[in-house]
Amino acid sequence: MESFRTTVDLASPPWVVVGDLESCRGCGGCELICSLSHEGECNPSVSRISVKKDFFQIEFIPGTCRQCPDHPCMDACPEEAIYIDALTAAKVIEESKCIGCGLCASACPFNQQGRTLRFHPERKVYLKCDLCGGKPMCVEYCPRQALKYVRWDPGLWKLEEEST
Amino acid sequence: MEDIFRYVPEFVGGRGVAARLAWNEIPPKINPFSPENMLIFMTGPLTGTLAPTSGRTIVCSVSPRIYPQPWYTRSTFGGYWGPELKYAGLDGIVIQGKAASPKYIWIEDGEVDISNAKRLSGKGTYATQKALKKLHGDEVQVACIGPAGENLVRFATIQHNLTNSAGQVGFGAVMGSKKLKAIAVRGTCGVKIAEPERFLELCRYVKRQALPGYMAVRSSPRPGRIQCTHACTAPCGAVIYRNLKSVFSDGVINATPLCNDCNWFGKPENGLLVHYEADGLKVKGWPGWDKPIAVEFTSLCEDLGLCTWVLQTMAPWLIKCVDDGIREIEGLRLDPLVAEWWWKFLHMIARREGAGEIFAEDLIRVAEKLDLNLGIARFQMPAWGAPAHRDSRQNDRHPSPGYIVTALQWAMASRDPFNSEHSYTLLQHYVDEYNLGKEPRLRKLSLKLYGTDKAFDRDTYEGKAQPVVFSGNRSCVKDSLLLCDWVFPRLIASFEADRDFKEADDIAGDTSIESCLFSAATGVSWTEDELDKAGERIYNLERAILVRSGRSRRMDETVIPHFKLPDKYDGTRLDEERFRKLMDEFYRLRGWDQETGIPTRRKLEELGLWDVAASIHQDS
Repeated sequence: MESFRTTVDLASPPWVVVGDLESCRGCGGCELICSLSHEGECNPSVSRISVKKDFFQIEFIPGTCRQCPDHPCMDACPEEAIYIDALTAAKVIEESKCIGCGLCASACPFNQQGRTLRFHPERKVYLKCDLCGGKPMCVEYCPRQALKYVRWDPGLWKLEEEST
Repeated sequence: MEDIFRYVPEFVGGRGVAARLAWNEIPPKINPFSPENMLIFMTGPLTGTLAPTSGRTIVCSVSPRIYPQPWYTRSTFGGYWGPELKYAGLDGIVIQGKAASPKYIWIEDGEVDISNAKRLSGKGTYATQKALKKLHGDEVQVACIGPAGENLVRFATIQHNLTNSAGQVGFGAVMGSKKLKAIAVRGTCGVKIAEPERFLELCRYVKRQALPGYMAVRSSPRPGRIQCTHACTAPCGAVIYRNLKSVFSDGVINATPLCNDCNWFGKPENGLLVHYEADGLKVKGWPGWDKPIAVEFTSLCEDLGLCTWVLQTMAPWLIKCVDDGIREIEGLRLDPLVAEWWWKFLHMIARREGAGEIFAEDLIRVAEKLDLNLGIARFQMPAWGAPAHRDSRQNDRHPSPGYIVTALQWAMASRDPFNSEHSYTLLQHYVDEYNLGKEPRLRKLSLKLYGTDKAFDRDTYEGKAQPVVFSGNRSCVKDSLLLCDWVFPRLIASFEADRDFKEADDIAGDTSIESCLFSAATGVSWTEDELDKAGERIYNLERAILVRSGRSRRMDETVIPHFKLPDKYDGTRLDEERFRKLMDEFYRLRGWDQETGIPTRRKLEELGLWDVAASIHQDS
């Protein structure tokens, strides 16, 4: 994976998918297109993006990997199964190396209710957002343009942190 | 557990499979509240997938609301419950029998548990859902009944989330009769797609086409609106009311009422509850309430588990009673222009308290029992015990030729047909809005969709049966897959800008979308015609179920008097003689006997319904 790392422009922040709480209406299209494109099935439980839906308060919070520049998940992996994608600087799990130990998931400070790093019960590996190689399908599909594909910035999650 | 592959692809899923189960197992002419009645919850092959608007669920059973006699019909609801059931590994649930005490069903990844629901008894649908989420987790989806369902109110709903309900045909009461308060579901399995890449590409394409039925030109999603069902991408949706201060209590209300809040809002331009006077019938207009009250009443109905059409049906009748000097019914003082009175009245109906006992039987049965203003009651509920809808007398604007088609739809329906047969009526909106009436491209569209270029011609009854055949088959397809009636089928193309639409020579939409989605999802490679054929099979099977309950041409004709009243907008009346000929044409197109309205042996056998043919025609 060294060759990948050397081509990443470390001076620029990584790309990231971030949700807009005001626009999201919880249709779940992002979860479905994510699981469909990655897993060949429609299943929110193995989607790499997840919308927390409160139908009674009418509040919807889309959440996925924040692609932290300091990548605690990557540092925690004993198998060095997580690498940085050359194009997007996404932290990507190389499934053939993943042993499903879950140390990445425990190291992630934002993995509330296991919505960011998820265990695939059949393949016994962890799943996380890989930014679809630079063209995140969820962002393109969202019918309300509630997902943005932007450069990482610590202020992106301000609204979400205030509301939770 | 039974394997669904006994019934598919022949019956597609959803409504089709339910009809097959009902034909096999629901005895004809049974009491809807008897333990033998089956309450069938079904999803379809697209439920839980990315297919736009695919989050719906269908419920089928013998309905206590249908008048003059209960029979088998359907009701659908949107939201997230159906997909969750699919993720739990089930395509449907059939409830039969009756519990000794209140129960709820808890399903988690295929494990089914029946638990005590004593502590949920009497609770509203919102409190019930919240309690079950607290117990089983936030991600659980709940379909439940409120006090109205528990008390067997004939127009009680099955409720899910804030606004999604199987509302119109009283299935909440059927659920109540089985002492089943709720079904809570959680699933983590997926819906496998036969051709994932093709399906994904298709969904992207369908998303661009999937506009609300009355729109031809794409617009941005409207702010402040909600998507009412899982995987919906259409830019319609209900208005969101957050933390609205309650008019009647100290609390606040969160609500996303769909079009039904306009029933309560009652603005004359909505075409609802306006003044109507003809042939000795005098229906007073509804003065209307402020929006917050209208929203709160919608929300109250959803919480009590009452069909939100209750005001539309009952208000004019109650107002007429007061005008006639009737001040009191069964000890209840009538004050139907006062919002507080309605607040109390709705609670009484849901709990069958005092006069609520009689009104819980629904307006048409109340009027009959008291022998009071039966004319208005019939006007409000013109057929099958269903509130008037798209009839252009009481409700909606469909001057000729619109109401000729909707009258025929009503004649052939088992309920208010417009839960899944809007199609032609939505096209009428374009005809009005863009003044398409005289344009050749409308004739072209008519020809492509219905095989006749006269479907929109004003002054002829020609070409009016074909749209009803098309809508009927498509309604069965849609309710079997299941998709939203407001969006599918795509009768008209979607355009980027107003100008594009105005200049387009060909405005036909892509009606093959359903079959493409079905094929890519299931791997059963069916053309549009093959899927339509399945729709026809389901339509005929449902007719056979009704025939077994005594349905005949004579009953179909009972809708005629309502449509012989003058149209609210153009004053024209249904011509009875020409309409009867139109009915002849419809039966002929359907392959049904013109005298009796019964599907012929030949038609049933052609559709592969051999056992049905043998049963229906055993005497001949």
